[in-house]
Amino acid sequence: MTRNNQTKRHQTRRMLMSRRNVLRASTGACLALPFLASMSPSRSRAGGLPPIKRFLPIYFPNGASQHWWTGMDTSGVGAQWQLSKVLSPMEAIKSKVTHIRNLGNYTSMQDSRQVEPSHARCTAAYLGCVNADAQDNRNGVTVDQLLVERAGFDTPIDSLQVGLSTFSGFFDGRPWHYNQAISWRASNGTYPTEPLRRVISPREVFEDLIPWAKPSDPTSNPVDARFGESILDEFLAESAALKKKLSQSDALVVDQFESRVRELEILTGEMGMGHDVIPGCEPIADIPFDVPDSDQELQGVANQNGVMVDGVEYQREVHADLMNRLIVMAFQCDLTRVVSYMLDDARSPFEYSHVEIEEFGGTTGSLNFHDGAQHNADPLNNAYASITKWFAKKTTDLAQLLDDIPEGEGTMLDNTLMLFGSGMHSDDHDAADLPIVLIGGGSTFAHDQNVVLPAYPEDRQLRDLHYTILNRYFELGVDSFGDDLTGAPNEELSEILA
Amino acid sequence: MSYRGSKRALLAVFYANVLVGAGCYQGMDEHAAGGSDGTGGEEPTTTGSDDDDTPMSEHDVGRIALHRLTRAEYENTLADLFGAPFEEADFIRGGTGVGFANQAELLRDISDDLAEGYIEHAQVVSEQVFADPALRSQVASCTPTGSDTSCAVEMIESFGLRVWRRPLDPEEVTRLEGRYLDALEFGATPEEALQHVVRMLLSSPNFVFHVEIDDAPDDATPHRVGAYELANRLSYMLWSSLPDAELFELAASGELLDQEVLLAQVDRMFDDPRSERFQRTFLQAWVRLPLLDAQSLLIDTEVSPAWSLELGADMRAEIEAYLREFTDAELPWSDFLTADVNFVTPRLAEHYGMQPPEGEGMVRIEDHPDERVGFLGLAGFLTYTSRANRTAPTLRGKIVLESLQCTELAIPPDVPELEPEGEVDTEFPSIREQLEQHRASPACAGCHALLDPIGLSLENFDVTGAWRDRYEDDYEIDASVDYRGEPINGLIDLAHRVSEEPTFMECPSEKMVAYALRRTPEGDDRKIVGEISDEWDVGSIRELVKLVVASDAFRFRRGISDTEEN
Repeated sequence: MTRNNQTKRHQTRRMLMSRRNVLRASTGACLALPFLASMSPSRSRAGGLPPIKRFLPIYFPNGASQHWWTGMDTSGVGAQWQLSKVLSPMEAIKSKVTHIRNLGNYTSMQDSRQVEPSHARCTAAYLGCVNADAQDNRNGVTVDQLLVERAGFDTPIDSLQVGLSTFSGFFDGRPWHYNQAISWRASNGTYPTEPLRRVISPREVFEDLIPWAKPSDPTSNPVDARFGESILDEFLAESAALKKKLSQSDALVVDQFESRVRELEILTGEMGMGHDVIPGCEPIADIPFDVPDSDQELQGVANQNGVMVDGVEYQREVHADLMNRLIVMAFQCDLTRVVSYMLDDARSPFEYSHVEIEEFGGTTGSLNFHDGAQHNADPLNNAYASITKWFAKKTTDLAQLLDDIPEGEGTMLDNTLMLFGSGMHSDDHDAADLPIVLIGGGSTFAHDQNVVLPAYPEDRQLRDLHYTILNRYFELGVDSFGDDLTGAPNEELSEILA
Repeated sequence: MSYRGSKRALLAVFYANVLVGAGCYQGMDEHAAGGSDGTGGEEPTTTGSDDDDTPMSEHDVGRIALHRLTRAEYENTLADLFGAPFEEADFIRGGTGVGFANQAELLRDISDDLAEGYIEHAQVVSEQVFADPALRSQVASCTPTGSDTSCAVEMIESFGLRVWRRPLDPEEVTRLEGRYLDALEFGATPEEALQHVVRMLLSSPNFVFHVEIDDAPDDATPHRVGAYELANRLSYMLWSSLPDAELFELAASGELLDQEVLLAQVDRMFDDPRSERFQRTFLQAWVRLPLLDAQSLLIDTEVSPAWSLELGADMRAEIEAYLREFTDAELPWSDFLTADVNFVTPRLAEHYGMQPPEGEGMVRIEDHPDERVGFLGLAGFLTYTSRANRTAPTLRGKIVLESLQCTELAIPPDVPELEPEGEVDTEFPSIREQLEQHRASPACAGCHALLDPIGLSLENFDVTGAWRDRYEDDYEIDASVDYRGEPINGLIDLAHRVSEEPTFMECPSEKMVAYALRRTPEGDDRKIVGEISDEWDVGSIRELVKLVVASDAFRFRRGISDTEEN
């Protein structure tokens, strides 16, 4: 089909996606009008409502170079602690940064820090803190999605999961979404949870957002809704007839399909946006390049910079900057309050040729992230540290963009809690002493401190951090979060609180 | 990077992939013992009367759970329905990257995106079809006029049969006819109303799923699969697509239930160009050839300066041609590892150190005097079983064991620490010694005793499968190993030795059954595998397909029992 058709189709689809999320968010089921009124952007600006709080977990794979922790062995506040060279980009926002040591994420799976196979499982557990292998190759509901479920933000889009990966790594024999999704939500389907769609294409993110960021076009000609209803009627008739002839377990599969089709606006005829311009919302005008989604087994578009994708040269740096701007746009237009962001997929073999190799005191190493940098004869190699530093830089860029936007009494960063880190320690592939940094979120957190918890095996678990975020930042009153095979209850991480 | 330099990397990879423990493997060996017991005094299942309605043996024939078409099947089915490919169905996501994509258990979940994709794709395809006379002609030869529904009904019956891969019942036809009239009432032209109905057919669960209607879904005793369903099982097995007109005719007349007719269809379908899809979805997936596509982009050209994507493409073409020797040319499977056959372009010949053939195309070379034989000697195989910048003996061993010997390796729950930080480089100067270190550890010995001999005997082949005598750091390669108590040296010894393993000739039956029945063989399936394996004397892939197609498990099914339901 022609490119034009594809684009048009794509836009329709994306718009519909967003609409469906709206319906689910507001009612949990298929519902006709009147929802437009409740969608008014003023909902969140009206006086007397609780202050805006957002959550932005950011993930990077393959662990951090050991240089991450240089000079960060003791707790300290303010002038008593310094950022390592890897984390030095954060210097400008240090007053809004908390670095935490000795958070592990293995007690949900076993009693030691060596989780195997490491890449897939550590990634799947990053925000969920359960053993995905024990969940029939599914996962638990992750902290960000539990937040969406419980907090009821009432934004047009529940949440987004975005990423920069352009090349599928190696799945450790696990389903692709172990490596390519950190966000999982509850599902009414065959399995209790499903991975959230992760979008690497800036254009797709843009198209998810733009129908909400711009007023609708009153001149557009709506499709006669009766055709969609007719298709839906027929579908439901066929589904019902089929289910009668199937065994119970097979009927459930058809049932799942049916329940999802019932929600599709393409069939229910509820098209059209019709909302006002949101103050301060300035949609970005230009998507300079695009990357098609690549989460297909063993496929990918670009394992290095400079590869031509649809006539435009791929550059990871440009991709990252664009994604940062899109996230800012989503927040600025209040289209969602929750974005999870994978700076790369688990076990990524991407060639980080755009990263300048700095001197960290090791050998040069290789910019091939997994095979050359993480797996190197010299675990202290400069390339590994430089790649890790680049993640810190891009995260800081995003934090600074948010910090430049006034909001309420402070800045947008003060109303956005960023959780930057990895599910893997370093070249050792361990799931203890994870690289974890909290940024922003305002006065709930003490900040400008390095918190050193007791070391492995007396360490604390990431689930306690998520638990603390849910209860102390978002005030949700969650009883517990994540699994612990020892049966240990959650315990608040009081060390990070103001 | 020097080889010596990459040792630590190697050890770290072991953490991620190595399978440890004294009882490291399960699978084929276990089955082999049970299988020979089970088949002791019995007649093979595939002989005897053709039209008997009871299965030949008393094994549980199992059932195929409802599941959706794979992405390839969905795309192929649309392409074959209209005689032209459509845009990629990229809303259908991939699987684990290991094993066959058609396994029912992987295809039972319908996400939001997927449901939306199906409905939207049906719309896009139906629009395109009705905008293009050539595509439109595949739907119906008639032209609908006004409220006269004769053309619509003709289309619903004839085209509907192909879309749902079974005849529509009268109730369905009447309902869809009503939808056609509804569309006219909404203001559609007759053509648009027909398009509306086509969109319905393509949106339907009857199109999206492999539907088998069991007339006794709760009856756990084996009963025959219907003729249309048999046609579907066969066509999705060999063509990854819907049955063609001949299969539909044989299903309509019931002749397909006759075993001779069924097996004659296998031959016909094998000789049809659509069997190319069987190459891809079965054989190539089995040997994990898709890994080469990913690996081609990853190869570190500092370590392998001669590497190019073109060379990678030649390697892929060689493997495809080599696999065809065992289907089209019907070489026996016993030669798979030892046949001295290569398919080379000038570029690949140079890589192999052979005299380049004349011209640009691919040439079949037989009995070339070098240290290279069989499948394990193909450069492509040796490339996709390496890492980007170094060979990985453990990985090569793992893929040989898992793919060719059906020996499943179980990852232990807890891998012990193998060496203290920082001591590695000085202590074990070679990869061989590192691996010996693994085998010295009781916890690691189980798997490494299986994995290492295979990988180490292939060490003379570098990251891209070229011959080498020494590592980059000049360390001499020693490819002599102890293979299950017997000394062997290098690829040729290994190829012959593995070929003699009982698991090697039994494994294809297991793979074929898994592929044809779309499930991992377990329980009585393993007995069926054993019987098929015992009977597979010709040893060609085509013959194996026929044995599986003729088996009870393919032609029969049982309902689901109450206990399974919960």
